[in-house]
Amino acid sequence: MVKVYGLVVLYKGVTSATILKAAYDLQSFSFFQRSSVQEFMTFVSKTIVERTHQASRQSVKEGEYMVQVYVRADNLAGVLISDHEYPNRVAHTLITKLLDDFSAKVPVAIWQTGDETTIDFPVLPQYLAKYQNPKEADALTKIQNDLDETKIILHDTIKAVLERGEKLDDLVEKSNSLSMHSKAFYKTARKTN
Amino acid sequence: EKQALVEKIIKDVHIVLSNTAELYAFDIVPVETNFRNKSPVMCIENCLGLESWCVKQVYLHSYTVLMDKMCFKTQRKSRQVLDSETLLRLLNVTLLINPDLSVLWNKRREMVQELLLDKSSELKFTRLVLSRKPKCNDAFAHRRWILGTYLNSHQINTMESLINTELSVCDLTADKCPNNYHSWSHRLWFINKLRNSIKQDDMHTLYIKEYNFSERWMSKHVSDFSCFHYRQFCIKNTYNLSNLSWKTFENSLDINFRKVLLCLLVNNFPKDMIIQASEQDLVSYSEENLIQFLLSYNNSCSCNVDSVSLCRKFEILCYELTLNSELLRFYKHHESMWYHRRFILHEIIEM
Amino acid sequence: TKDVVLSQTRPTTLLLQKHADYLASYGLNKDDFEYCMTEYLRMSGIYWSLTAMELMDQSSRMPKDDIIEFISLCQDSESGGISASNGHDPHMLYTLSAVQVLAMYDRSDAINIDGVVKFVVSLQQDDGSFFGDKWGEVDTRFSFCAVMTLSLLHRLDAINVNRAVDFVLSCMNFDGGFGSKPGSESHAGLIYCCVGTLSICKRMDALKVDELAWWLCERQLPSGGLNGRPEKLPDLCYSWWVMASLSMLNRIHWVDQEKLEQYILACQDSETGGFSDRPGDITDPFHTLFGLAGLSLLGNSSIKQVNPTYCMPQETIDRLRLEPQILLI
Ligand SMILES: CC(C)=CCC/C(C)=C/CC/C(C)=C/CC/C(C)=C/COP(=O)(O)OP(=O)(O)O
Repeated sequence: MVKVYGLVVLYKGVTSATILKAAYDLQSFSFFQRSSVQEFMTFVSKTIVERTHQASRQSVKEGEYMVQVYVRADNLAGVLISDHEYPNRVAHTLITKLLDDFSAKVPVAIWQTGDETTIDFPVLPQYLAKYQNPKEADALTKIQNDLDETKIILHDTIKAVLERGEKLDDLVEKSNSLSMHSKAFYKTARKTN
Repeated sequence: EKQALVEKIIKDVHIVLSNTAELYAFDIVPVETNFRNKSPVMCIENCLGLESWCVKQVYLHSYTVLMDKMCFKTQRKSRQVLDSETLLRLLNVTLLINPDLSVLWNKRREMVQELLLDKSSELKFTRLVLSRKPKCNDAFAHRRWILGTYLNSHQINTMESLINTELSVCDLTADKCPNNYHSWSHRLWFINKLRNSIKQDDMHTLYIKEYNFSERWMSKHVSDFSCFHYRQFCIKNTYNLSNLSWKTFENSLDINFRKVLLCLLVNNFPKDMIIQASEQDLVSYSEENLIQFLLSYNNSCSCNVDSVSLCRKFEILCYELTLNSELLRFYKHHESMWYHRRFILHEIIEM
Repeated sequence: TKDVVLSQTRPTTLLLQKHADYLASYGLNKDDFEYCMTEYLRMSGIYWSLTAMELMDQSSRMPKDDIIEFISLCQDSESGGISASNGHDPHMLYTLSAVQVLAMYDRSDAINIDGVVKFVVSLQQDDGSFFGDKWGEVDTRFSFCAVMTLSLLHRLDAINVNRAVDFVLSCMNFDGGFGSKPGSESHAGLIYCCVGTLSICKRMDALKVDELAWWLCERQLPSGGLNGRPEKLPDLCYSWWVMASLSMLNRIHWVDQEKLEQYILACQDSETGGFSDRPGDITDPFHTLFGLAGLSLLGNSSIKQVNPTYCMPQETIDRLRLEPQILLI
């Protein structure tokens, strides 16, 4: 399925990443899963941005999902979570444009201290809706031809992004941002896979 | 005490089912223990949820009561042990948890026949089951049975809404689970079934609608071959549209069939062919002349053809080929699209 | 394409004894919940386990007398059909499984054969199709169940065979494959049912052999495993549905047999015994049968020869003097 589930703008601080703005489309998940899925998307976005170097791009496949990350040289980062069928190239072009727009509208000074409630960037949900159809981004891709696809690091699972000795299960267990409900949800999901 | 709790849960589910007019989803919510010490039955925004910790107990209880006490097991003839209300509660909760129990669906059909259950509520209940198990063939089969009795009895004044609901159930289940054989096969069955129940004009309108629907769906579900297969069914249905419907069809599209065809032709004329007509000229040709023109390349052809339908068929297939090339450009490695291309070429060669 | 990667540590030899132990104790240490959840297909479960045991030559470890008694208890005196379990409703699927089990035990006398014949006959429609039960669902699976059941009882003449064949042929698609109903998508499981029907009715001539065999061998993925239709993950059970079909078409060599064998072996669980759909998943009797039967088709000599049409030991088919048609190349 060609589908974008989430678009997240983050700031990569020295020790951790913070969410500056996020938009999700979780209609296709069962009602009772949505809050957990959203928590997970946030959790994964942060985790991956923290493990991506400045001025680099990664595409991480995890089962049916695809997480695309771009961390700019100035530590502004964008994450796009989609179904694995969404074309990588389009996704990265989109993130680039999104971050350009974001830095044009939101002053650099508040990136370090801001959070979702204080930052004003209302167009994110529109982005999410418009680019559900990658053809919309086709024009974009043509303009931004400078994207060098060979520089995108591809990973087949989230595990590959983690540091040596790190385990996703442990990170989930330790996380403060995940509710008890979401942790239970994660465990059941693992079992049935 | 356990027994009382289980009965309470079954009752709570029943209350939600009977009090919420438009329940549209059911799910089992993963919660390992009863730590909230509250009822595990939730109803939020028209969604029914059941916490996972109680599922085993509830199921064991309701299944056993149904199978043993209801005398499913021994003398089935003298089964009136449970009143139909209690029976229905148990059937609902057991099927929500395990919708593969054909024997319980059979029981519901008997109850429909005895007028103890009404058909429209059966359509709602199966939809709820499918929201959690979008591949459940028994639930689709139950819908087919209900729809069969509706469509045969000619009491179909609400045809339009019936059609819309059915197609929306198919949308829902196809979206939840890619390559959902049962969902697409049900959709196809339903459209075919309508042939005997609605007027030909309406049927043609429906074909056009489904054709356009399948195009949108296909371009968003690029590796869902079941949907491509359905697209093939839609394409074949457009071959036989009436003249009037054909006009409507052309108007419903935001492309021009004829131009797509000519563009493809002009770019692919054999090198040794002396072309006396330009693309502009060709646009003004009638179907008859165009086909004549194409067949004249091979002088020896003296076959008798229905030029109009042949030309239309050719337009449809060339458009499909163009669409397919476009999708292939975007999404390279998808088997579905290559299989679909095989179909298109097969159809062109068969012409 | 979607596929799996076989790990270095996967099993690479056949763990026959483990599988026999697994099946012998299956159901004994199951909790009630699991048992109640699957009771609706118990009769087929018995068929899968018994056939697998037969193929391993260890069927004496199955409780024969209990099974036979259970089957006769499941026959419905009114319709003549057989149900999945006590208290469930008679259905074509379970009638077939019961008849297969009794054929292997050579105990068809344990049920009312005329009753079964009456049941199957009552479900054939004017267009040759079959209902699964009195509620009227039509599916090519049921056509296969009908002809296989009757042929095992030597009563194929009780139905209109020509029409049954015509209906199955009306489900053929341009790619040579078959779906569950006229117009439905081609699916390897249903192809097996339709080719099997033609094999029993000796009408294999009606197939588009090369198109069909080509489509079937395209089911093989880089891992060596087979899927049931385009864009799906491999699943061990298709080692049966696809390979049995190819075998009836006499074109088993169109797939890479060595890689398929590796995939099948990788689906074994070396701790619990049994086979699963994909390497690492939980095992069950269904996949255990099709893993073993698949290996048998590939010529593994430690497993008895299986008949590709009936999915039963060849010796049973020979004893019954059945001769399902197989294409000569
Ligand atoms: C004697 C034997 C071995 C069998 C009896 C005859 C029967 C019942 C054969 C069943 C064949 C079969 C596997 C049919 C598949 C039916 C179908 C439409 C499955 C689609 O369901 P999914 O769950 O989507 O399965 P896949 O994903 O594997 O396609």
